[in-house]
Amino acid sequence: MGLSTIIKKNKWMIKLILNTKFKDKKKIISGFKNASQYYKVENTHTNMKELIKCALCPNMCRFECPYLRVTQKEMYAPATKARLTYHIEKGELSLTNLHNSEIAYMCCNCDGCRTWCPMDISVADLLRGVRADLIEKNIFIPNVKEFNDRVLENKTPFQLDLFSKHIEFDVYNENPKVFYFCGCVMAEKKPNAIKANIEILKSANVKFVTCLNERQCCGGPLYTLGFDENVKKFAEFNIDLVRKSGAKIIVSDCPECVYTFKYTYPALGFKHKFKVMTTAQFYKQLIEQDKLKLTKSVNMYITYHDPCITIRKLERKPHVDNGDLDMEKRYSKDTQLDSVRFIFSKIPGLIVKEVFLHGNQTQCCGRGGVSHVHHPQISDAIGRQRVEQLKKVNADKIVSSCPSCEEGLILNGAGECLDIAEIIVMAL
Amino acid sequence: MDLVYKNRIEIKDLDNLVSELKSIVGSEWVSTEEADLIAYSKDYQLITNRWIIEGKVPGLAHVIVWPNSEEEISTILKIANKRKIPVIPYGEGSGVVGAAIPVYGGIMIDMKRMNKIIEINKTNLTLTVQTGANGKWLERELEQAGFILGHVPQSFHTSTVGGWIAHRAAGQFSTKYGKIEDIVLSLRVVLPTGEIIDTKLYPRASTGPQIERLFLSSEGTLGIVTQATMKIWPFPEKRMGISYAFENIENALESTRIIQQRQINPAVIRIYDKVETERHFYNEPKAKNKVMVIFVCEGTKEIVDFECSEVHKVCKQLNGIDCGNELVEHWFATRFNVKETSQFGPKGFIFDTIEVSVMWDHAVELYYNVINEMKSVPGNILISAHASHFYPNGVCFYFTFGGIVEEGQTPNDFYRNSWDAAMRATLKSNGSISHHHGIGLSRARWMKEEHGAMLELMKKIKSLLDPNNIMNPGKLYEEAPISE
Repeated sequence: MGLSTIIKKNKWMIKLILNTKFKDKKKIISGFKNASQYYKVENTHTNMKELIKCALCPNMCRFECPYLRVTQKEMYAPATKARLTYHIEKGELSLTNLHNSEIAYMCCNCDGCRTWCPMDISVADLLRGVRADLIEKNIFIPNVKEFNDRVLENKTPFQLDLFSKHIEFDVYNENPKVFYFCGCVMAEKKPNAIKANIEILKSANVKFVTCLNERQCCGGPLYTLGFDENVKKFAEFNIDLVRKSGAKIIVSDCPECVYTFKYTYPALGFKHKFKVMTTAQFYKQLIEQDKLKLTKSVNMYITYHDPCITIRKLERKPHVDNGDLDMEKRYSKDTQLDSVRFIFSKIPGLIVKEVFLHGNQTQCCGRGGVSHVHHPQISDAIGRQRVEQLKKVNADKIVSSCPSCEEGLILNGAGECLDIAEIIVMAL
Repeated sequence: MDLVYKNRIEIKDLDNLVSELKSIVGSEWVSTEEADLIAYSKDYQLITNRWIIEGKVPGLAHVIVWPNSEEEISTILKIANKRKIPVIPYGEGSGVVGAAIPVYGGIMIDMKRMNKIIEINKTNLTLTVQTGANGKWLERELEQAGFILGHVPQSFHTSTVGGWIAHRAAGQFSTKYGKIEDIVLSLRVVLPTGEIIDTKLYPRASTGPQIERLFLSSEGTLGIVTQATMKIWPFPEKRMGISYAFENIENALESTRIIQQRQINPAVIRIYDKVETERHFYNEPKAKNKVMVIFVCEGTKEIVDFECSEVHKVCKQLNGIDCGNELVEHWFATRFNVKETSQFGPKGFIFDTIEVSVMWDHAVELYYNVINEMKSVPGNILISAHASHFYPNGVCFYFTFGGIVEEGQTPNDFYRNSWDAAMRATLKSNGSISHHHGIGLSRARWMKEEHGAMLELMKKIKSLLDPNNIMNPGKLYEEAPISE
């Protein structure tokens, strides 16, 4: 927001303040000057200024918080989490009590809160900062440190051979245009989707590599948990790996990997010039360029689960202090939502019926925020709620475009959940 | 952390109490953890925001309980009665008068687990729902079934059915769909002594005093309302927005009075005084130095068309300038935005809103009296008002104040002085001290002036239903002392 808009917006208040007595004006100025006393905390990763704003709100986004909805406990309402972690950051709440520090983890990173926030605040981002602060103080809730250690040791959240065991997917092309960066969860849980993506890329004559023998996790889950220093190691390795391959575009079947390359690495000081896209965004482009031809009929009735990260994070413009009120303008035009719907519209015979809560009102699958690691029961309960909503559509298949969502939905009663690549491949 | 309401009762055998509660609801649903107690230490009475940034805790319950049935609540209340321990019902904590602050400690009963829809009756057009249900989720469920509730308070995203009933709430669309007392048809209540009663469901009856109406506005002092059957409506066929700019508040009020008295019922009517017009409609050149009025008409197409033409006719007669639909769309887009306290609270400003009602013949007088009286409070800088609810016989004004704490005063001094000024001026102008936020702590000291002898009658009813005064003590009939 430009200065002239700020003045225009606050003219009513400026006029009233100008009409006050001199001593009141002095008091007001000193109030503005002294405000920092309330958010001044040394060496914090947390945006204290935004944390306090959130803490003082009446929880206008609470209805959208999955953690609150399944626990029904006030301490997990978004602004209440902000208030309690504000007290933690200020040293007013004891850190030795794990019940207190646990609050920082009670979030599935879905940004449902930010969707409704007139101040454009993401509680997920705030709590991530608090988690990073807790980690620096060596405070961990159960399972978090173990998860971090496993990822560091195995270079993936799963086994050491996660990628190398899929030797059939190791694709090499000279002078590749694209680095197909498979997600860890996709490799572990949905190798069929990787197979589909490879077929799609080949059918569109895309020169690409997968470098599976050398692959590591992007480090995104560790960033979510607040292990910033450890993510840097993955950033360095992965940027170097892609750079060495010669590819200029990174396409990933995992939106978390896309987010990590696009936003997290630069935020941690690892800048790069790669174009980073989800498979859906890339395939939309290929269809528009007539390189990817979807000709076969796919006579199927599906519903689509929008992953939170694709809708609310990947295309979201950066947070603006004193947020622009026009919520619609907070997203870029080329959204993942559009890409996916565009692709579906090009598949002959495919019928898509939207679930009631879709697009930017989508609901978490339960796996967001690495919840299945630190709060598995809550994670599953959130997943079950989403499956219930999706099942109301009575579609033949549920489809999504995030391996973690697909896993979360399958584990919580969806039966099957196809990746968008598995639908596209049927139309080739 | 410092406690603001320090007169916390002592519960000597708290461990036993906690064990008893756990045996009723299960150990997962009882907590004495520090973080839980602090989470429930406040509602949205705005002075509590000041206390938060100063590192203070408003009130501290001894234990939080999340029951899941009337039977569980009944057993808890029986135990509390036996031990004479305060019980505070809690929904989503968006009440703005402090009614959910545990001023003496005690057992906090969070109703959020009881949030199920029991029935949507498409023949009677009724919804039966447990009172822990959140407004926005209820709207989503109803929308899927093709209905609306018509009750949309600004707290809609962060309040429960129980909160609406406890505070006798009014929504933004109330001019058409009614206030909560017009919407609620029957209730299930757990009385302070543990009895569970269902009031009969009827469209209307002449069967003796309607004592179930006592629970509307009882603010958790007469029992816990656990279920309600409410009116619902089919999705409106058509919705139209109209806005007019008037020279002054007098003409704006006159237009809405005439409209209401001609039995034209736009769902939404809002009048913004000059300060608020500048605040909300800064982008509209026609609004400059004017009083803006917006209308939303909705329902059956023919009725909407007729109502709109009548609204235009009346506004034009009073020299209103037609500002089109765009400002109404702006209102729709921003109507749930609450951010001033977040942005200016840490900068030393203290804000609050105060809504009052008045008959038409004293409306203009009340508006000026309250504004002037609040301006006279040292430190008060930002004073404005809009009118938000309308009746053939009167109107609700919604005042906003914001200011700074003068030397030698505490934040609470400034806060109370501002409230007292508004209450004093309202009563002087024949107004009623609350239209829909309720009494809680903020207004309790003015109940005698508001009600006169009726207050004693209310207290007698309270002691009849709640002989040990366990239900939400220190509110409504009396103000718990504060020791900031």
